[in-house]
Amino acid sequence: MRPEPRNTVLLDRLAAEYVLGTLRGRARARFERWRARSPLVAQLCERWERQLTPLAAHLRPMTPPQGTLAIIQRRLGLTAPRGARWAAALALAILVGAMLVYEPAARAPRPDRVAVISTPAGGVQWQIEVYAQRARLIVRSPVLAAKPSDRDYELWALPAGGAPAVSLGVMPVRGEFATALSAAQSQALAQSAQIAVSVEPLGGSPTGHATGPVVFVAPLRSVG
Amino acid sequence: MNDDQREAALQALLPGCAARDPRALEQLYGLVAPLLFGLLTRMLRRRALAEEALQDVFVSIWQRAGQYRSERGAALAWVIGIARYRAIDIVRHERSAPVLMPELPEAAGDAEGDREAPEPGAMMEHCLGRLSNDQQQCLQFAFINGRSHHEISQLTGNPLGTVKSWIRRALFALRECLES
Repeated sequence: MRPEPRNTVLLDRLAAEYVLGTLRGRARARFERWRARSPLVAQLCERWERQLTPLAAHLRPMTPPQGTLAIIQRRLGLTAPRGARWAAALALAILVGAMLVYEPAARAPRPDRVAVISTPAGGVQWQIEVYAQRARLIVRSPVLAAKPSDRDYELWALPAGGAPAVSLGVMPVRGEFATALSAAQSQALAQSAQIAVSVEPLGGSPTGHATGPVVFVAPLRSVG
Repeated sequence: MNDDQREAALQALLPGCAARDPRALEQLYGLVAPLLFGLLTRMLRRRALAEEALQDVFVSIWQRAGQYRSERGAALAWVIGIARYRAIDIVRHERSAPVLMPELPEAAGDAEGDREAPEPGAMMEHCLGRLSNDQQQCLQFAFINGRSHHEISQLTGNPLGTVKSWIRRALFALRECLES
């Protein structure tokens, strides 16, 4: 392994040119190998990456060609999950107005745990954010959720060990909504690795248990 | 969805990819594929190349997701880095290929863009504003358009040495401002 260099100023300049992309040819290939072996070189590159990325993060997005995700999934030996097909069927249903259970969300710090439920096209339909310390739940629905006019989507925590699912409330069809978590909901979420969404009568399940089909199950992931 | 929300979602989805959860890949694709495709199209200037590169990028993200460490930087920077380095590699191997699309000025926008572009960081805006126009243009040609020193020299009509000097000074002036 190459020893760590003493001239970090020169090394930092090379790291900057590498991250910027102007270090080319064999010099780039050599530097790449060096980065893989040297924690110092890796650290210098990561610092430039952190600082320069905002230059690219504001570029206008472009829609990739349809079918690109399927090609990627095939290359990786994966198939499209069932939830996407379910949601595609629901997209044909009638669209209706907003739900009642949640209150408007305030701007919040980073959540402890997040679950994401996709649209048929792979975009975000719902992002569910758990703020355990503040006993708060925020559900964001950046695009309008399609659903039958006489039904609501209801969100459930699925505690491990076969304990009954605990309702977290009716899902918004669009917008950002926050709600305070009860002690029982907080406890259920703490014991849950997954959340689920079921189709219920308007206003949510009348029994406190899911009565309609479960249309989405998503992992609730910790945010690093 | 603002930048913080997107970052939180990305940080939650990358471990899912590392755990080989196909749904995590699908969600991550929905979250960042349009941004990465815009970047790759700009850097590679040929749509067919950008499409292939986008596939390569998501294959890499899936394969390398376990290497991502949040304490070492933002998840968005990590995925953008994978995309940019892939584009630079492709350019390296496609040097003699004809250019079919002109340089794309960011101000002109993109007719295919279907989402609102997130605002760049206010700090970055401020610090970029302190650079000369020449320096800003050189940085954009290099970082966003993937051009080499030599190409930037030809595009701007400035001597190669001057371009190198502008870029070097711009990088360190930018850092000094961002860290001040």
